[in-house]
Amino acid sequence: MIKAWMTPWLLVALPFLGAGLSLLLRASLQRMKTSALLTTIASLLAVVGTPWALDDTLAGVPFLCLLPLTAFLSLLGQPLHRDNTPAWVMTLVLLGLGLGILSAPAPAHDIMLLILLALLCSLLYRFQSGASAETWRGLSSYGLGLVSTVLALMLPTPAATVALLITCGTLLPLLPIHSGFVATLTGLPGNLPAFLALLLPTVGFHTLLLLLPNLTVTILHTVALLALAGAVYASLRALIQSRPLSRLAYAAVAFFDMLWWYIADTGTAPMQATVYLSAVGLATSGLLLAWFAIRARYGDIDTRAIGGLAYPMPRFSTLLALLALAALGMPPFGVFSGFLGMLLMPTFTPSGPFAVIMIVWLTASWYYTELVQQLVFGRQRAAMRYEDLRQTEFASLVLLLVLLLALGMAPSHFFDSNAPTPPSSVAAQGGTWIR
Amino acid sequence: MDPMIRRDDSVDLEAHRMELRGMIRLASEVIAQYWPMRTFVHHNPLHSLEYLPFIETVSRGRQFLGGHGYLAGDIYRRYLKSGRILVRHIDDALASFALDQEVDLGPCRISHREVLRACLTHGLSAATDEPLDRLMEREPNEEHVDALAERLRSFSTPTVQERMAATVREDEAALGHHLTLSSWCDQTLGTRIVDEINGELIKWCEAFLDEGHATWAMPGRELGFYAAWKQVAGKEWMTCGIADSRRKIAALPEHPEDVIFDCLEALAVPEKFRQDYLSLQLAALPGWAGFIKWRAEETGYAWQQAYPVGLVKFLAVRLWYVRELVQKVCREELGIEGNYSAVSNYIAQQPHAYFLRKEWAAGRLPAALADRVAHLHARTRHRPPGAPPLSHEWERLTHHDQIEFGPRRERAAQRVMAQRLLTLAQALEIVPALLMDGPPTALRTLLDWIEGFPESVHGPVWLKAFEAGYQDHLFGMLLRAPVKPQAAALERHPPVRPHSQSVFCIDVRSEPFRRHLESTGANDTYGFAGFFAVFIRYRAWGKEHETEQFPVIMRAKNEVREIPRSYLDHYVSKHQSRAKLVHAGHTLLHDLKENVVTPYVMVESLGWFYALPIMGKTVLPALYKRLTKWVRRLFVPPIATILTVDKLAPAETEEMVVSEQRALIWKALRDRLGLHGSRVDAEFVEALRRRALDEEAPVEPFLSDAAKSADLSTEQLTGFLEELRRHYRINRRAASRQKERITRTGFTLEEQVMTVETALRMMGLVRNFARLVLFCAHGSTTENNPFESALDCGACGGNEGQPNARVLAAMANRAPVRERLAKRGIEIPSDTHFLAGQVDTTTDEVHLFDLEDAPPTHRKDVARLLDDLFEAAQLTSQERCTRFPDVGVVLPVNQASAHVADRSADWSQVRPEWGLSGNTTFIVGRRELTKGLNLSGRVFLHSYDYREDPTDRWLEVVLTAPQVVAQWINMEHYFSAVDNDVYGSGSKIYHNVVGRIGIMSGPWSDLRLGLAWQTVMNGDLPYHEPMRLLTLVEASRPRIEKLIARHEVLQHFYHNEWVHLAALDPEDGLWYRYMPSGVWRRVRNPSDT
Repeated sequence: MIKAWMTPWLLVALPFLGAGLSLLLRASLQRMKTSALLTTIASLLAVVGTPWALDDTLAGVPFLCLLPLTAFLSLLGQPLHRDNTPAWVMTLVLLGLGLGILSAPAPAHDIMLLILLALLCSLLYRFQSGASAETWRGLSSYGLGLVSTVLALMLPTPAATVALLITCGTLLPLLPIHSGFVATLTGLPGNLPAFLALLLPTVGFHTLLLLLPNLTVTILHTVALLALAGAVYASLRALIQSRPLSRLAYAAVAFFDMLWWYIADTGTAPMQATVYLSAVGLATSGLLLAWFAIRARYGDIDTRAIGGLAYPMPRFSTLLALLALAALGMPPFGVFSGFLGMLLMPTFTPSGPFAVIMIVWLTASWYYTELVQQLVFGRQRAAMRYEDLRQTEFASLVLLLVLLLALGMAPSHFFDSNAPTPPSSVAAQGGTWIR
Repeated sequence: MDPMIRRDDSVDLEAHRMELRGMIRLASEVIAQYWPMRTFVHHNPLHSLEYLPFIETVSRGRQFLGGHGYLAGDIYRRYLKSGRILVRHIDDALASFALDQEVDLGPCRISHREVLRACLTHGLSAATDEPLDRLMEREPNEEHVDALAERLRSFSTPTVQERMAATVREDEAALGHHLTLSSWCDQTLGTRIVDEINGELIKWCEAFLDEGHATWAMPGRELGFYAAWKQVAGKEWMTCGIADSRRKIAALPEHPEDVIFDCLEALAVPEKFRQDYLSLQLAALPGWAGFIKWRAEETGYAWQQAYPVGLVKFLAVRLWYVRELVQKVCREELGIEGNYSAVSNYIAQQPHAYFLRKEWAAGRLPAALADRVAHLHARTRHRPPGAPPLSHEWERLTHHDQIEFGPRRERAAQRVMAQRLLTLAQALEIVPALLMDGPPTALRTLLDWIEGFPESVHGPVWLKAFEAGYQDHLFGMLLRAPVKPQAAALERHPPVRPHSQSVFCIDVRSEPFRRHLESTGANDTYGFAGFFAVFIRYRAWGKEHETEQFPVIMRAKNEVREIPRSYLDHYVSKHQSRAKLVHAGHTLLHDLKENVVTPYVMVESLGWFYALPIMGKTVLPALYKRLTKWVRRLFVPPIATILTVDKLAPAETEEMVVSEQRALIWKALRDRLGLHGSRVDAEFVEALRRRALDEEAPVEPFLSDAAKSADLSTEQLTGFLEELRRHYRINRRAASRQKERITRTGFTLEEQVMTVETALRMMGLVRNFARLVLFCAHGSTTENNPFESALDCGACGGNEGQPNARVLAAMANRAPVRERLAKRGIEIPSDTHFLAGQVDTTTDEVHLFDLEDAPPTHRKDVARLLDDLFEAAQLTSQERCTRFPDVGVVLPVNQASAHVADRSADWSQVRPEWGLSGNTTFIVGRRELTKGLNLSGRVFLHSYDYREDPTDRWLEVVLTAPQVVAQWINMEHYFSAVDNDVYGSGSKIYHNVVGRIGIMSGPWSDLRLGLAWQTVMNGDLPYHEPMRLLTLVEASRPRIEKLIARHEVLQHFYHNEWVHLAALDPEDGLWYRYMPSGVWRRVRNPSDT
């Protein structure tokens, strides 16, 4: 019989064992990938099978399930190529750490957070391409997160809270410490960015939930300002990017900053915020996976070199268009319902900055649509050998869409029963926060 | 200034302008005229270049218009796979390309021809972009590819520096000649100048050339295109971001030629390139430029007279935008002047920057490098004026490209080579191991052969093989046909008189109908150009405008009007008033819809009424159509009419005009002066008429007296006369015009005899007339189809041919005409009656006209003919249905008729008819040659009996007129099928009517040329198999040679390979093919090979 205290360690251990097994099977790519996939399924079953042990965790089981599911889907579509294998192993390692952080109590939580950040730094350093400025900015960002986490372990409560908030800002990207997240999505190999697009914000959000009751009005005001500026900045950066990875990374930052702003503005993080966070992460994962399908075929290609995919790659084009619709916040997908759900909460009152948020929201229609247009429409290149999505790639993108649909359409009580208990907001602590 | 010098200057200037106009005329050869859609004319989009060989014209089309002249290699390979193209035909077509060389690879000997064949059949030389960093699983054969690529490591591939040098060399040669400066900017800097200029030109052309479609017309159009543009564009705030555009436009010279001079000078385009440069500018918008070209040539066209436009004006406007935008972009982006020499210098002096920018703009750089190029490009843009051009940085970046990506590119190129060799091995069925062990020199030779035969030169070979397949099939059928040519004198028995003889248009759509009509009984059929040699301008009853019922390349001097039959005179006014009421209703509805304010109210109040037609047209189109037709007939019943075939004698004309003028004066006296009844007598009216016509003559005393007796003062009389002249048009000018119009109406007896004789002799119908002879024109009925005239008769100028058929039948039925014809050797029996009819090519229904005139003795004949026509229509519908992709099976005849009727009424149907597509051959000869053969509606059949044409006069006409029309139709389909984007008009789904002259794709595009995608394509494959026309003539070879020598158009057709010619020589009964070199080669029976 598994004891409750053992559950987090079980959730950590399973993927780690899987990673070890995968390494042992590296002679055969097919076996290695199968082993990785089975590990994610085992992790999923472990999460589903131990809800009694997780009921005091802040992350609800349905949302916790998303991590092994996303790991599974990001691995599923990966072609069997030697260059992808480090990413498979690291996916499992990071999955284990992620599940551990989300399910373990302090100080194990903080230690694992430290390990996660250190691992991210080493990954960025290992896979940096041409010593680009973006990678160094990413390293600095995660470095700051590392130092902050160490400080949080050592300092007393008010200072520790601020330090941990900075760590949160590096994982759930917040201006000006979002560079780590951007570098992760643009620089890491294989399926890692697609998985981390959900894992890092989830971990950051989870840590933020722990901190939220202790945040003062001043801190929240500052965060709200930074989030607002970050949303505008990231949105503009997404607009001017010519490379899809950078565009997707900045778009995700813009959407996550909107979440930051909401939390800071209302001082609450309702269940809808978790839906929104998961949906944005999943949509970004989906779009990244879609682009990886192109990258696997044609290398790191300029988007101007490819176009008119609607005809030669109809399955890809359809899924890409649907994922973009989901990501830019069209119903019935999760991003839309999560955002609308947050806005309909009684704690939220529209204010001046909300207009800015709405503009940021609408700007997404521009850059996501442009990306789809560039790839799907126009004249196809005769000299290219086109190949539509293979079964596994197709399945992974379809399942991601199904998850996004489920997040958008599932009745709210489905999440309520397992939802994280919203921490008592600062609004409840002081009348000054109630507008 | 000395006035003499000034005069010399102006003479010089005028000479320069004339020279420029001449140059523009030559430059416009690359674009074809574009007829307005209401008289859609099938034509060769490269018609003006037919004096060049077909292959060369196709490459000119590629150079100027960017169009492909052949299908893609993959499509031909699919035809090969399906058996439509045979390998032996490929071998024949390759004969001129293959060298007598071989390569030994182990025990195998590979010939040059085999390699070329493999290039065609396996797509070896297709350009492929091998990705640099592919991360997909390895394919099963990739080990072989990698192993062979390893063996090819010693084969050098071009470095970045070499590619750069080649690019610089090619672009320097192309600039001005193949490449405009605006296109160069777009290609090098990623700008969109050409699109921007096109957008502006589309805007102005759309507004200026509108023919009543726009609710608000462009102001100042009467000034001409250039002046109107100057006036309106000069008021725009900032055109295309051009600084100070208002002042610049206002300062432009008065003459458009001068603007062109200035712009060419400013752009510094060398003299030798100017014509090509102007061609490229025109070819940027071939649709609008083509329409302007057509309109400028139609000096009598009412819209052209009102709002003159020409290519000189068009180019003046275009080049102004080019000059300004090129200047702006070159200064801002590169810091150089926007002209030819500055750009040439830049290419030569900054090759690294130029090459990398170009590769970046084309998206050919790996993403990481693209970012760095973008960054450096931005730095170059923002450097201070006079700062050095960062050449070293660009050079470093090129070097970096070679270091980082060069080896990867090399590996990718070696993989491409390895893949090609392995595919070659597969094609030649040799084991790949031989390649691994083969000497490098042999491998290099094989690769050189493959590279020396790129896909871009495959087109002509494929086309020949493709055509050979069809021609073999056709000759096979013809050679199996039992009928052999025989001289008329040898016919031993008098021919049996058929039940009927029907003359159809030569159109390919007539072939199935003729075949089925012949199968229903003793019905003979003939083919003749659908205007039946009747050149008329025709005005239908109740219509305001005339239609031109003859081929667009010709002119007519006779007019024919449709008038109600005399026994219906009492009914005419009632009919007219009802028709007017309907017309007024339509106008009111249209005005309410188009007004600025009323649509808001309209939608609310009347919008829901529109639900009825929308539902009807969508859910039950055929029923809805029948219902609306019934309602229309109920309200305005059709009226029996007759045509004014006979011309009046001069005296009769004079009397008619006088009578009409008198009636008007009676009316004017009553309406204006209240005089009527006994107060007005005929002499007074006549005096008024004479006085109104002759203003200068002295006033007749009688007139003054009569006016006084009618209580009219002198002033009143003078005023009334003025009113007669002005308002009632009783003046010399109007009278003369009226007489001229009446004189043009109808035909003299001699003209009628000539027309009937020409028609009958050309088709070889000069004896053995049946009791009924039907001239059957054709028309069509479709819904929501802007190009409905494309389905009507091309020989009738894109109109229905029924007026021509009616006129010819009426002429041929006249006794005086028959008497004269008899004297000329054509004896038409007295019991032969000529009928006119029209077949609807969408529903296959036949309608006969003027049956009132059929003698009572012919009622049974008419009834039998109607039965046969009905049966033939059903069978034709049944055959057509099998070709529709959404049917594809043989339907029962009733269902087939209902199906085609449904298609015709369906407003969402993109293929209401689909009859003309598939045309391949033009057969000139007796029906006996093809009778009983199923030619699948792909052949133009022109009846011709060489025995009745001893002087070759009729053959000459057939080859120089109907054959030209057939070739235009064929080429229109050919080019629309091979490159629908450039020569066709794209998908019908996006078509929008513009200015009542043509269609655009979406809201903003060039006028779309050619045929729609749905017309020529069926899924991925062409429905119309693009092949050049094959003309088959039943006539002796020397006679045909004589005609070819006499006519340049025929030399162009046959010697330049626009048309294939073959002849059935009556001397020996054998088929001969006419070669481009001018020699005849006997056609062998394909089954012998």
